[in-house]
Amino acid sequence: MRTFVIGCNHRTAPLEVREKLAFDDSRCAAALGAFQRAYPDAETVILSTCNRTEVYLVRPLQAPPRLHEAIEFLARQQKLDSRDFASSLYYYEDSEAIRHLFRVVSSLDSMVIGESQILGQAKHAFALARGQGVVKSAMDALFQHAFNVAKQVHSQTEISAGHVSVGSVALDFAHQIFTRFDDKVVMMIGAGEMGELTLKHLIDHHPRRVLVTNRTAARAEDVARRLGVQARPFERLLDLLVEADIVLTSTGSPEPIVTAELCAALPQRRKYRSLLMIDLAVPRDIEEAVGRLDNVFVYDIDDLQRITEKHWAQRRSNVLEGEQIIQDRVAEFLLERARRDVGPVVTDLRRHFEQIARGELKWVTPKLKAVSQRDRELIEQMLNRVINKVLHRPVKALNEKGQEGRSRVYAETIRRLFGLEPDE
Amino acid sequence: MPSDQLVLSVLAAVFLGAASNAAVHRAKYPHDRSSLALQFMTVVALLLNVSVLGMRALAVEDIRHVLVHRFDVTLVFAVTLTAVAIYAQHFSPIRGLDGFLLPVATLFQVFAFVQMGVDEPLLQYNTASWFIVHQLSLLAAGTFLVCGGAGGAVYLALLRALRRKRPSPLFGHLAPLETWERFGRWNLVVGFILLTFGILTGMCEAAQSVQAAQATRADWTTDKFIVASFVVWALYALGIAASVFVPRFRGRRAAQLALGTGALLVFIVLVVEQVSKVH
Repeated sequence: MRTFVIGCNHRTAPLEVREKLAFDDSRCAAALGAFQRAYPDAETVILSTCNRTEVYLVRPLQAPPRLHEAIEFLARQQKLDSRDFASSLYYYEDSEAIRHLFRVVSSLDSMVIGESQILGQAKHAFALARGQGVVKSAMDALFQHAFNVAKQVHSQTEISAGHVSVGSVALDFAHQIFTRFDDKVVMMIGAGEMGELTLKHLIDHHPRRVLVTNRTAARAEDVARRLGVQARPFERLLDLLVEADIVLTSTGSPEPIVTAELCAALPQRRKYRSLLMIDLAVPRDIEEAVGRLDNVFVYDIDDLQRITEKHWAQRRSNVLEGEQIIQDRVAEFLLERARRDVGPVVTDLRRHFEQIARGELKWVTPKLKAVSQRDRELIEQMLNRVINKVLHRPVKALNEKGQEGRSRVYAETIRRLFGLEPDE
Repeated sequence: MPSDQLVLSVLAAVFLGAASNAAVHRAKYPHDRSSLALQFMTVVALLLNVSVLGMRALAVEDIRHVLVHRFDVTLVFAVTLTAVAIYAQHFSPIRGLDGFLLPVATLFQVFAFVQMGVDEPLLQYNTASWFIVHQLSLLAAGTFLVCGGAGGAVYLALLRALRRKRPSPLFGHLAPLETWERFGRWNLVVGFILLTFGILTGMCEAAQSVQAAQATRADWTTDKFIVASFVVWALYALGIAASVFVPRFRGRRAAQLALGTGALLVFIVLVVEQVSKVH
């Protein structure tokens, strides 16, 4: 059996190529069905996310698909010319393919290192393939081991600690200030893209009310309609600031729109309730002095990015720990598999030689004159010693190759060379 | 004190000290995997102290004993604070409070040893009915007010971290600011009511006490502990009135007051009471 993976990710392929190669569930199911019909002896899992499309394959030594066939299969499924994307693909086999899978599901190969989404996506891809009947024992063992490795990497390192997107860091601040969200009013000033993304993050936590305001009322209404929230007139900005608990600003204004002068009476009017203001605009929308008011917390884009960078650095430092775990677990998996693959071959091979030896002994015994019992035992011992010496080097090589992830190749070669049947 | 009780008390102090140290360490490095050890040490310290108190009560066959001797009362206070810390370790809405509460509990645990030499009871049993109520309400008031003070400390620590705009190990490890504000306010209110009740029952008890009868009016009005207790009571009354009627007093200022008065309360119990002539 050979294990290999072909695929592309955010590092090897531009977005246009990734889009063309991506599978949704229905197309993936269709592709898996086609795969099973074309290559009944092989096993496969297709992992397709926004950042990667990968085809994991396990096939018998001499059976298809080979690399070029797998690429052509992918091209056929996506109705593409393989020359259009072949240069964006990577290819790993055996131990490297296993290591790659372990890195992917552990999120060490992700764009956002440490994110846990990929594990869910890999489990989904695996379940889909199993449902289509293209996963058998070899692929099953590989993926189960990979999920186990991912769990270990996440629990034994701090690779997932700390958020690394501006929106999630803003949410972290909100969580550190407010106990609950369902009684809070969230307001966005402006209609910038980053503001909208961050607002979506906050909406996911079900605040009591979400308001949007903008100098251009039509744009506020447009955003409000799109997000299913309420638009408010910009002229009532101070009243809105009194009402809101979390404020996002994301305007293109060259001057601050939330000034210290405007907010001088804000804490008093709010009865000193806490107010979190996230300024995502460059240049800033909120004057620095506003952040010095009682119970008003202002964070600008630099503050948020400084935190995301620190979290990034922490995660990067944890990657080495994760890699070490993966290295150990790949070796462990290969050893386990080698034992499974090599053990029966060695037994069959020994049995094969013993049969030959017994046959030769049977042939030669009547021809020898006056062979005592002791002589007969010596001949048998000699034959055993010859078998042991003959087998010593191939068995040692098989074990070594097993640790490199090529035990199945050698095991199958030996079976073919000596005409050993798997059930012999 | 019998040697077995002494050994258990010392062990409890060691465990409590180690637990406080671990709790403070965890506040700085929340990802450190020492939570289980911390919880274990806190529970062991609590159990050891409870056994000491149980042994002492059994020795005289009177549970009230633990509210009469200075050593026991101080130990009971350390136990109640430890119990709240254990609650905080398992109850996420006030997570992180144990890091601020366990050092105070350790302080009282150590102070109990200082009190060990004073072996005569605070009062005779035959006059103790008001006294027991006085002691119980003050113990409860002390627990609430010290928790309020610890809550104030948490609030200020968190506020500082939020104002610094830097990633802080406190984020996620401590409950949100809003929780601590509410926690501080409720502890202050409940603690103040109990403190008032404790002071009033103390006055009723003093009216009947033989020791009090021997003291002059001047002894009472100039006694440092009595005066300090009324100062703390007045400060709490002022703080509660301010937090109810003056919105400006909410948040940081309320936390500062809770912390300040909590610290003053601990100081009065630990230091001022030692120089009191009539209390």
